[in-house]
Amino acid sequence: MLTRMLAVACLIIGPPALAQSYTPKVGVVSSFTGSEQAFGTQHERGYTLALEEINAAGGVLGKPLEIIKYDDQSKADVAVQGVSKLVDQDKVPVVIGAYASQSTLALVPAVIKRQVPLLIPTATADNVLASKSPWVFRVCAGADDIAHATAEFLKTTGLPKSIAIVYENTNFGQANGGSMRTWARTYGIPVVADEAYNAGSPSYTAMLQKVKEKAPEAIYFASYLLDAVQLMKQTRQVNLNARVYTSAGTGFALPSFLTGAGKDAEYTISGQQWMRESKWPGSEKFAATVKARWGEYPSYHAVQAYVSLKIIADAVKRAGKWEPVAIRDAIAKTEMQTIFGPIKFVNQQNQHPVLITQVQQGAFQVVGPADQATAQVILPTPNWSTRP
Amino acid sequence: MAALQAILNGLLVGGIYALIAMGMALVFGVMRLVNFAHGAFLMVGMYLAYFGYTLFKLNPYWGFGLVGAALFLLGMGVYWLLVRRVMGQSDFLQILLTEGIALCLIGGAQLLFTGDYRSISLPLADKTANLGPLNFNVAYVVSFVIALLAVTSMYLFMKYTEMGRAIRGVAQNRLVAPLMGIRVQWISGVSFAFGVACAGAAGALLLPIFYVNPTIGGPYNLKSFVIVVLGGMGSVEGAALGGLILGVTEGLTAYYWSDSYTQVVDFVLFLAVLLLRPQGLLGKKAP
Amino acid sequence: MRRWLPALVFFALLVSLPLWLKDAYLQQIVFRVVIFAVLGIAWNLVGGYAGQLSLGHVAYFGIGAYSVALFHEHFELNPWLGTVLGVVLACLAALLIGSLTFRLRGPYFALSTIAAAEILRLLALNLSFTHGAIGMIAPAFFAEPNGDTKTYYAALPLLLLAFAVATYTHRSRFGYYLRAIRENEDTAMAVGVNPAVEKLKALLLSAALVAAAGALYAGVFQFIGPDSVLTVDLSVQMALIAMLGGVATVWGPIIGAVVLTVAAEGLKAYLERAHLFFYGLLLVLVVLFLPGGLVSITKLRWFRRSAARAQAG
Repeated sequence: MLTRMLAVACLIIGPPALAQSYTPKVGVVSSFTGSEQAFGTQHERGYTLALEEINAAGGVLGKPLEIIKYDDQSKADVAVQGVSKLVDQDKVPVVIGAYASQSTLALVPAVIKRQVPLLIPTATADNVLASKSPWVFRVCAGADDIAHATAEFLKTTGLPKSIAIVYENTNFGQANGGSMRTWARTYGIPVVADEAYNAGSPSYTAMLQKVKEKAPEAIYFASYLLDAVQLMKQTRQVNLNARVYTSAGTGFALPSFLTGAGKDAEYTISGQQWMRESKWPGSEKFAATVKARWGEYPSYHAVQAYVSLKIIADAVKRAGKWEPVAIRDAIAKTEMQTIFGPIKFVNQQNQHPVLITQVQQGAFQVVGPADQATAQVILPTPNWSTRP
Repeated sequence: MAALQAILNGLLVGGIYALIAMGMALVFGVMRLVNFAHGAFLMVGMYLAYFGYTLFKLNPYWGFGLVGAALFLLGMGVYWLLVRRVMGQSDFLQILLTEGIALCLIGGAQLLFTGDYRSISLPLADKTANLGPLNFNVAYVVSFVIALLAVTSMYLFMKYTEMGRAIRGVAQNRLVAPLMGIRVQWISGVSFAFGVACAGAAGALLLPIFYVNPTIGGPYNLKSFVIVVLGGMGSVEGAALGGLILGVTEGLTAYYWSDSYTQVVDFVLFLAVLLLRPQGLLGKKAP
Repeated sequence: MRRWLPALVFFALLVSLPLWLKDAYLQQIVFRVVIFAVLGIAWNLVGGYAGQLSLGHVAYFGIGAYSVALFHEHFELNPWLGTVLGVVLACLAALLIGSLTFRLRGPYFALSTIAAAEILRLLALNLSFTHGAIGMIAPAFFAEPNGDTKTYYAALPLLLLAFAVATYTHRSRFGYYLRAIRENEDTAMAVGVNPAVEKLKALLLSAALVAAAGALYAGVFQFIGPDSVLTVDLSVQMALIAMLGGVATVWGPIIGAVVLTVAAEGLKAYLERAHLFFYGLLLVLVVLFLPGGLVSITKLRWFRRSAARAQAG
């Protein structure tokens, strides 16, 4: 009787006391359906290519690498369930994901609870690393880095006397907008307008009118694609003339921004995570492979996914086993040269150099940092009335 | 001056809102049914216009009538198959049914078209014009004019045609209408289809200045509720007026406060009207 | 005694669950079933028994969830205290929202509840002390290991409480009043029922349960944001759970929660992109063919006929 009770008690108190055996696979969470599907697709392409290359080169620890994908349906609460499925049920010892900052943030407490490492490929909001947990790593540059790089770049071209920050009312927007607010203060640039807008409206003219009246020399936008197009078109409509238009990447950094906004995209500056033409080895080849296979060039999300899987494969090889603590420690010691630049984690964050690009003659040109530049920046931006 | 600009922009946007909400006002007026799928039908109209343009080069500014007609048929189908069965039952069931229809439409769109955002690029949509110191987008003016025409023709239709009179009859008194020789079921179906058609046509006009994805109709659904209550449930002219008022209110909120609070103001306005003047501005009777 | 047998078996099953269902992922699904059952039962008090189609119930869920997170962040209160405060706040909100919205009838009432909940969501989105769209991390109720299993055990008494409240409502004069209000509010008033008071009572009970559920949910999933705990979708889900199972019944919402959650999991695995569509389809089918919910299947004519035939033949 007593032993039975004891056994039951053990079962209830159970798990971490017993040794866990993990599946030799990598768990991947992304938005393969739902509103963020387009980016999930980019992720998927990156993972697919990386997987093929890794296995063509012999796999990991003598066996072909396998990944288990989980679709978070572009929802944060589904993303959390993904961790449970991947770690509790499928027993993967490492997770990569998600896409959106919100879903990614949702993953953090879940992986910390289960003590498996998480590698973040794309989320830029800085609160994903706020826990400072040794289990969470980020590959891409964060909102803070992008704002910092932008402010630093503005310094080299002459600090603007004022800046307006225009951002969408989402995790991405609020995070990036907030980062620029902080850095503008650090660099001594007065913030004359701080406008949060409802993403997904057809008309921002009232808000832009308000910004226009503050006559900012510079504007920092944080938007996803279609709003970015609307914003530039409507900036022209209300005849808001700033000396320099900057942005936190994303919407302003995608190739479709060029087609969508057309001439209105010219001269806009953006913080970019990656450019096809970047001087990192293998970049051009990767872009060409993706184009040949899927008919369009990859966005930086695809690259982030690709490089994340490569980092994990490399880490597992160095760890020598499919076990969370070993993999975690191996990730922390990563030093690689990749198509996404050099990979090195300091305090859980990869020191990813932010590229500053400007749209010139309908194409993105890298204008900073100096060692990556392909063109000189053109400033000040001519007034709308003098532009074609 | 800048306030004037905000008001002008608000009016122009309001014209589109009015167009979108008109259909909902009609449906409620005749059938006492709040169509929770209204925004979803708007979305369907937008997709139709999108494919009309990308596949057949049909400019939505000419083709919105066609889109409306297509949605009229869809609305008829939905009415006869589904909505008809809950007429006369509790509001509860009616609301949940239309909500279910909305989810089917949105889910169906996600299946067929994925969650991707799609947009078209019309030169008209980028044209800006100036009226003295004020600026505006030409496409909005076109939509505004169309909205004006729509409301006017709707008004004339209701007042002077046989069917219009029948519709008004059913709206006024559903029980007595059959005694006047009105086929209530048929009128209800036509009204519902017409309401849906309005939503679709408005969507076609919205596409060039915006973009479409399966969930794009949600906010417009809620806005339509606000507009219809503001204008007076069941009054199409009220919806038109309500649309303009909402547009201007939002514009002024964005200008004086913040764009991110416009939706809050929408809902506060909504509750205020419901509690203080439930019959709205032009509505006939209080709920 | 026999009346209580199904309930006894059901709860025994739930209590013993972690012993025979070791898969933590499945355990988490069961936890969600329990939470949704509580939500469905709570909604049913207002929506089923009183017949007031509230589509803004998520407001109370969000208040419960955010309370746990906010009181922990700003006042360092433990989540238990946060839950209690959340329930209190939700009740206050219910008093406010109820007194404003219950004056309205039919679709006006439904729309006004949506407006109230949306205002709350937009405030959470725009105010910095709730961290806007970025969301918050809520503290866990129990420290590891097995914090989630322990929180599951904390959810069971809540379900029991909800069950008790529903049973009481079903059999008491209170429930009778609510049903009278649902059938015809004016007539109810004429026979001496005070609709305003009774509806408010139902809403208070409802809001308290929903807020507690929200708090526990926050403790397990730990990430909360305006788009995960304050959406209209969640309100609709509560209504669907009650409707699917059977409005104005005690077991209905529980059955609805089980069926819906299991179906959602199943659909997710096989019909990734179609889940919303099937959700809508389910709602339409239930409204048209099974407005009494799954519990009313036994009342359907064809069921009785085939059962009779089986008995005879």
